Amino acid sequence: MSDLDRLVHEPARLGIVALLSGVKQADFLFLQRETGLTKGNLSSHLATLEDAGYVAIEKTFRGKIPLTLARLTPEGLRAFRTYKKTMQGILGIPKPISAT
Amino acid sequence: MDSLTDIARKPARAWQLDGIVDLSLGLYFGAQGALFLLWWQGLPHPPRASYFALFPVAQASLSLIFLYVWRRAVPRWKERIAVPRIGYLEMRAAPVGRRMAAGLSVVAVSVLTPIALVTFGAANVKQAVALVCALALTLSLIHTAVYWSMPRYFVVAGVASIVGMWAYRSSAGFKALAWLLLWVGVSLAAVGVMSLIRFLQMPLVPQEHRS
Repeated sequence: MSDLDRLVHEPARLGIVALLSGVKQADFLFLQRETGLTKGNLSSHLATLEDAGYVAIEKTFRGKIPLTLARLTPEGLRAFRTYKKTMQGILGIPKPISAT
Repeated sequence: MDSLTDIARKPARAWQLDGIVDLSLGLYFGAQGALFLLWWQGLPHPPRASYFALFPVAQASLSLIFLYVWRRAVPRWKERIAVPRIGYLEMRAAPVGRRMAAGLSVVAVSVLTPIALVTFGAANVKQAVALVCALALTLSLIHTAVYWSMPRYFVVAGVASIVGMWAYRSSAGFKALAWLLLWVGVSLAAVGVMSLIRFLQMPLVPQEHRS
């Protein structure tokens, strides 16, 4: 259990990382819609993941509309895969399940 | 862990929710099938070599036109229709090696299948070829429906298997392949239209505001 990455283990952050593992990048609204988190909560978790180097945030515009894009860094993807592997080991799941 | 995998598949499912990809591919397959049937209808007696050359040229032209329209139109449709409803997302492209392998296998199958059919095209093979294609298509559609949790593909799989069985019982021969393409295309386009109608009824997500 001590091998678990606590940063990824938190349920909301785990949801964000799992969602981002399936895409190249996604915007704030997509993440909010899929996770069901409030704006403030999502911002806070994204900032934590960004500080850890797991997520890269880019603020841009789509036409005149502001667009906040988030993507998983290679380090973040590695952390997510390691987390899954560790959990599978703990739960005794024999076959690893690919996320992407 | 299953639910984690399920969450990771959510973006791909959201990306397909609007049915635009199904509609486009359905129209393409339907057009390919219709093209083959039209070509077959106009087959001169006795057959001329120039007429045989016409089909691959028409087929390649149709594919190029489709690819051109796809690359320009689909991102614009997504931008106008999908982004305001589900938010913006960009799918991860498959690795170059895998894309090249897929492209090469498509080319190899497209070239080798006609050669094999002409070389070993006995009556029973002609009869079975549409059934085999329909079976392969049905299995891959069922896999897609289950893996991505998209039950609409069960409908297309059902259509493919019905056409495959009809092809085996009929004497349509290679022509059954065209009917298979046509009906799979029509059913795919139909489920695409239904998905699109449902998708358009979804509420718009509120846009980000300037801070």
